[in-house]
Amino acid sequence: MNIKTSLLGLLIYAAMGLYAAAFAAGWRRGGRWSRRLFNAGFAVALGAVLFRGLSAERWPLQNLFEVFLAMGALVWPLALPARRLPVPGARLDPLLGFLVLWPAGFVLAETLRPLPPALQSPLFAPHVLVYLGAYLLLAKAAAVSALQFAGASPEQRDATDRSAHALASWGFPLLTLGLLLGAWWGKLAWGDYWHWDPKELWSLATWLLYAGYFHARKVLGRGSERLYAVLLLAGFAAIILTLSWVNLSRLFGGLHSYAV
Amino acid sequence: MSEFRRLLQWFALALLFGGAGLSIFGAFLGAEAATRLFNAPPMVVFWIAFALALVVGLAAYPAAWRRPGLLGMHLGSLLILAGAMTGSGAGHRLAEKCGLPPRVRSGVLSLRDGETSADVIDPASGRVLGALPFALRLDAFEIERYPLPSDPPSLLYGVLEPEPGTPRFHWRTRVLEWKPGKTMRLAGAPIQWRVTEFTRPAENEPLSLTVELSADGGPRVHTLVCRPDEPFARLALYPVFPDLTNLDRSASLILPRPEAPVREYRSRLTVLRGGKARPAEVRVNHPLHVAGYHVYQQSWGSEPEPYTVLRIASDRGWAAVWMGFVLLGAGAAWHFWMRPPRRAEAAL
Repeated sequence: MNIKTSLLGLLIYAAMGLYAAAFAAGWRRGGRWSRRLFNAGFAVALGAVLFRGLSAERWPLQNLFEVFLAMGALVWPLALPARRLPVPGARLDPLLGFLVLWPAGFVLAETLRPLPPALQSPLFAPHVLVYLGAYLLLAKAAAVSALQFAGASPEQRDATDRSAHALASWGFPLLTLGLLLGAWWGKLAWGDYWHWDPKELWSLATWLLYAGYFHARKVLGRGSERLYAVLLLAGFAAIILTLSWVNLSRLFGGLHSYAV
Repeated sequence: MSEFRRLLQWFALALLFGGAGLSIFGAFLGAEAATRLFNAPPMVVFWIAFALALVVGLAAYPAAWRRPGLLGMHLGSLLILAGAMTGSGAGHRLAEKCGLPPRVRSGVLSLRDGETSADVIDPASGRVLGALPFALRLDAFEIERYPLPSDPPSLLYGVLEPEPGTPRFHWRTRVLEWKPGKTMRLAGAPIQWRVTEFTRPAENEPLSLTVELSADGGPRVHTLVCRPDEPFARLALYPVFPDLTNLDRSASLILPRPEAPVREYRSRLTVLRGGKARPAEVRVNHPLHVAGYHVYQQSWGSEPEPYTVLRIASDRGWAAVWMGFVLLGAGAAWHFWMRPPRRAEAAL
């Protein structure tokens, strides 16, 4: 447990508290208060990201601490377009914000490190940001698709499937861009666009799983909604492993080890 | 035709999930073994099958040609695969057999100040892989550093270990976590210790750390001082506690002098080609492109004297890969974002 007493730590805990309150209000009282608290949580999380960026004098996306912090703020803008979906999952957004801020608040150290030469590239921020956007949208797609197993009516299951598919459709191009920007950057920094590094291979596996999901929809058509839900959950499991286990485990040493 | 299309779709699905499984398996092997795995002959068959599935898929679905996003994604994937195959070691060997001039695929080129070379070396074996159609001269190698962090110095515990198969020894160290004044127990030795005073690292200043050690008797205070020209200071523990029988004879506390983190490093070069000389600079993320080769700033060394290590890579196949990236990225964005989800789903 890594409890923080710094200003940044307090901002993170405040944002987490507001997100938790928004989630609780969403279940108890409905939309209005939940939205207000969610907006306030976003404002505080954004403040934390800006504070970190100004302290570091660079994009605060270098290590896992900063990545989870940035995701805590990205949850809000990515929740906006999902409100039009048949199953918007609006109640899940504050919970997602709370969960992604947890590692930044309680697990990872906030030690500020200077940017190594390889990360000093104009591709650094876009590469990480599009991945974070993809991860959040695909996390939400997985959460919505899990409702397939909640014993809902056929109509609700259809609405759930369409919503999960729409979220995956927004996230997949971001996942693709993240992979391509990373490969392009790898070519500029290390001399090859692909090194068969564990992180690269997990990212490729994740991309192939989601590409498989879209192909499976074409092959199987309607009636396999639960299988599609399983594929989205499998893709999200691969994302969790790519983002956390691959970086933290000594099993997967490689070129991306600075991202811890 | 519809049965063939259906088979093709199932084949594509098998390739995608098979590729995902293989990627996960490769991740557990590590980069070196995974490189060998994915370039082995059975995997070459897999890649060719992947490329053929894309070609046949594009031919079997004329409707895809009217959907720019779908076309871009599949054509982009095909170009990436084709470019990667062309740029691979096997691709280079095949090109040579087909009459193209031989090229070194990749290797390194090390240069000391003022040295000129065109020889590309295999970093693993040190053998010369071939010569470039140009030569590079190192005019200067520069390292730019961040200011030295003023964090409290780190303290290491180390013992000497023999290097297997050689008469040499090396230090096996571990970092000791400490807080000023807090008494800690030294794992593996019956010694308690605490840091009572320390100085923060600064350029050209001695670094010191005072530690209070105690075993059975009263505490003994020692100060480790690392002078500016020394890489570390060491306190041998055995002379302090000669009566401790289970203490390794080489057990030591080590105070290393921290180095300022590197901000940037660059090689100022002169490219010598066809009797002409032109200045150039190579730094991380800013490679140089000369006569079909990319030159990258990879690393540097200092033994026996400072030198730069440049990575050399043939650019064969890169144009196709690059076009593939653009088509795949733009295609995915177009296909999934330019239409409402329901229409996108119907089209899939």
